Amino acid sequence: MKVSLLYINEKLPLNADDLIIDLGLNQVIETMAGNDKFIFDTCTKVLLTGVNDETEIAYRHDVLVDAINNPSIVEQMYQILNDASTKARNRLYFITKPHPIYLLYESISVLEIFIEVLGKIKTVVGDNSVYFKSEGFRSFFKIIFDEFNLQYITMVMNHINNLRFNNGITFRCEIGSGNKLVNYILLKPDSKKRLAFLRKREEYSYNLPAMDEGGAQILDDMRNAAVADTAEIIKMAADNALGFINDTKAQIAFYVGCINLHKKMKDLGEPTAIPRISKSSVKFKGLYDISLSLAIKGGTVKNSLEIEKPLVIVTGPNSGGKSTLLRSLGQAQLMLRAGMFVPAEYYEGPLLKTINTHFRRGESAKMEAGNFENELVHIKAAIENTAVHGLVLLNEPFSSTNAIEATELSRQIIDSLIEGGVHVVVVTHFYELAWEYIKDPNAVFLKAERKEDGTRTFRIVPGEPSFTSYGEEIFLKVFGDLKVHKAAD
Amino acid sequence: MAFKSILWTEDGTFSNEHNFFADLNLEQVINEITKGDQELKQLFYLPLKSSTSIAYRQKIFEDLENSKTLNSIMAFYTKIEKIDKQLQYLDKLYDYQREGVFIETVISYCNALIDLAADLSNAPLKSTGLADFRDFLKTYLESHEFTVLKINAEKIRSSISSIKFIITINGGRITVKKYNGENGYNNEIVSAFSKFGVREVNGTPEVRNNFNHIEANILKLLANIYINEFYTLKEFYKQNKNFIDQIIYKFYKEVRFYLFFIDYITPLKLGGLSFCLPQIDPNCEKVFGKEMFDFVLAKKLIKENKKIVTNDFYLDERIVVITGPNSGGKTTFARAFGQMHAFGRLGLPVPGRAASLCLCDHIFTHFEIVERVENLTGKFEDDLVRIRQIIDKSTEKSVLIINEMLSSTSIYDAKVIGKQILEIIKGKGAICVYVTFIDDLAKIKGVLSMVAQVDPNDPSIRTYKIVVQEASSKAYTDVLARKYGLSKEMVLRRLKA
Repeated sequence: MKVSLLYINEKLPLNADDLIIDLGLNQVIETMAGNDKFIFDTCTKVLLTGVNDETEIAYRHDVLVDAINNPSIVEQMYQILNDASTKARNRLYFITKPHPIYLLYESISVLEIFIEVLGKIKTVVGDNSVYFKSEGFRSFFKIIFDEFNLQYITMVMNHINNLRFNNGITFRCEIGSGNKLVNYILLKPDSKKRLAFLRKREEYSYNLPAMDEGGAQILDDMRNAAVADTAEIIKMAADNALGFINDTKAQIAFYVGCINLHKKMKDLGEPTAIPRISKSSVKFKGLYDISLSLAIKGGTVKNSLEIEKPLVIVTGPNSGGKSTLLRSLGQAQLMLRAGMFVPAEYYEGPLLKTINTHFRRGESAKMEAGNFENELVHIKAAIENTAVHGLVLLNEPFSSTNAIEATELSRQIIDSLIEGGVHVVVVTHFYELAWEYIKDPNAVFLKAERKEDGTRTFRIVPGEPSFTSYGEEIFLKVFGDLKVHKAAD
Repeated sequence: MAFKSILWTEDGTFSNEHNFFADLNLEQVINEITKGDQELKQLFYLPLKSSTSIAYRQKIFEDLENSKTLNSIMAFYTKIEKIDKQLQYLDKLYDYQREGVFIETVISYCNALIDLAADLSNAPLKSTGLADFRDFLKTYLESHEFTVLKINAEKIRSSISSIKFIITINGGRITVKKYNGENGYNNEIVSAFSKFGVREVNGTPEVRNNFNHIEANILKLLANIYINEFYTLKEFYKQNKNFIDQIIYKFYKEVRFYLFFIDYITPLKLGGLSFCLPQIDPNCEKVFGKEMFDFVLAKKLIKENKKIVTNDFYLDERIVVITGPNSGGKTTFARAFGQMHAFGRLGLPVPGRAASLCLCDHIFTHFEIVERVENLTGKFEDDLVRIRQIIDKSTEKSVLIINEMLSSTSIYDAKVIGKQILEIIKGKGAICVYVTFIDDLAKIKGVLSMVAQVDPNDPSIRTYKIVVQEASSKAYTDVLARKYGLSKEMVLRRLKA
């Protein structure tokens, strides 16, 4: 009984925190989760880990489409599983010392919860199962309706009744070392009728005196020993049943998250698209920063580009939309790997194996020896985590040191990455660095768009880096009222 | 010769003072070796008087260097120890439990002896002690007494363990009856719950508690069904209470002396250290040791995975004076020297690759007491009183270990007095290891000078090597000076530049 709506990798990548911060994922995941902590955690895992298998992604897309088309049923199933999971957790494993009989009873009560869940889901899904086309949901319903059919459940319930031992516990026994009683083997509890028949065998009895508390404890130990193995077996069954509940809940949680995010983007009037996987080139229309969109409630600037080279160098003035593009590229790749829709009207791109970011952040941007060292350590870690056919997003690398060092270091790193088959997008204000690649067949140049009158559109368009300092301009704009010399002089 | 004891021949022991045990850190070692067993501990305070009795034990240790021999005796010891413990608490057990434990104890005893005899039958035994014991054992196993004991015990045990029965516990009522081949329930459960991914479990069906009155009651009920089996069991116990042979028992107790000691030194050996059976010179003339070390320190360093430095000595003179920097290993050396002598005369292996030791009548130590320095004059006097007592009692066969005496006085006094004391000891002819800071004491005629070494390139590193060398504290300060650029050449060069 294994549900496979999606595979959840419990192990977050080492750079999970970087990804969340650099790509602004918190806002995205919060929207997916609503106020459900569990959905939040699950979506975090799924979004950050992703898969490297095109077939698996297509499989998820099918499930995703089913979920978006049948939101109410999916949400109800999640609710049923969520309730059951909480209920089972409250029943289970509150004993500190091993006590097989309690363990047995607890396990039985978990099995009962499981059987109840099956019933409820059957009711909710009912005839609507025909609206689900994906292999994922279909195989899930097969488990619920076929594998655990009424006949099987009745049989299981009979054994559960036996295991309540209403006529006492009977076991076989031998005399072991030191004449201690050993090798308990539980026998099938007999019906009253059969018990009467068995009494014809020669038997001797002993009644525990009411005052004998120690004796009562020992009888309890013996009963426990007699059911120890059985309790372990039933616990295994309960664990698996609970595992089924929890796994299914987690898998559905992700799709509930997708439903929520999808609804939200629709409300904000933003497009979403099921991405297509290409061999290596990236082509998109209306790509936007989903995190920014959630923050400013839609109306984001959209980019449309075709990129056919592994190295993308983005230059241009500050606040020109460079970082936004970088983030949206990262988000799209992550969501593609997770089997989700992406924030664009249309998107196709390669399935890249890893995503690593090295973004300049607040404090670390200052030129200080310690920061430079930190940057080196960070970028080293980022590269160590990158695989061939991975993606590395560099946002103003080595701004903690001077231009010459930064250029030289960046160039070495980028060269080795590109040679190693990694896709690199770098945003830099070091024009020296950009010019190093001006004749490189692997590189493509983008820059922040400006209209003829000089105003910024925040759109990113193809364009080689220019040496004109926009900084000077901004400086003049801000300080122009003071008497200053042009930097060009 | 008929076997009597694995420890003793006819010869006697020194009645001995053992004040030195504390100074040499031996009390700690002995406690660890004997695991606190008082009876065993006493043996360490009974040094042997004759080379013959020392050789008797040394030969046994030699035999035990054969790992097969050692393992078989170790196994025997472990088994008998368990049996010994079980027999001690039989009286406290319930009816039928007692008999059950007893019969197993008898069987274990028989098997332990048979195993040991088989193991030893082809062992290359060279020691009189173990060879005689092997002969004794062979005769005992062939005796009628032993054969009957074994056969009966096994027969009865097998009849009891073939009993299978059913218990039903319903509320406070326990019912027993014969078992008629009913199937266990778990197989059915496993197949019924197969869709839940369950497997068979053969976990822990044993009841965790000790044998108890409920089980005793159940056995009583069973005795109604299996009348013969339980009657024979009870009779066997009544008739065989004192089944252990007295000589076997004594061997088991005494052999611990060897086994425990070997157990203690094995980790040290595995750590690359050597132990040897020393030559014991009754005339106290030939005294040397190769690659020796301090037991206690070695045990500690092995645990910390640190390197242990070993040292050699060859006593060309009766008196050794050790000098050198603080914490350079001087005291450790002196202590190790004393430890070797203390253990050598017990017939035990000693630290080192090879050694020849003095069969000494006394070991005296005088280690400075660091505490109580308020009254220096008083302390100085106490020191002298103690050293006087030691010298008075010592003979040309005594070993003296003296550490940092006279530090409570001026250096001049220490020199003058120290020289005189050493001359007195020389006159006594005793063997003496004398640890001091004062170079001059090492320059007395007829004294062997040994010096604790430092790394020539970095004087802060002690090598813990103690070698025969002329005492010179200047050698050490020269190295220090070079390291900090203060040597004569360095300072002159700088002045000229």
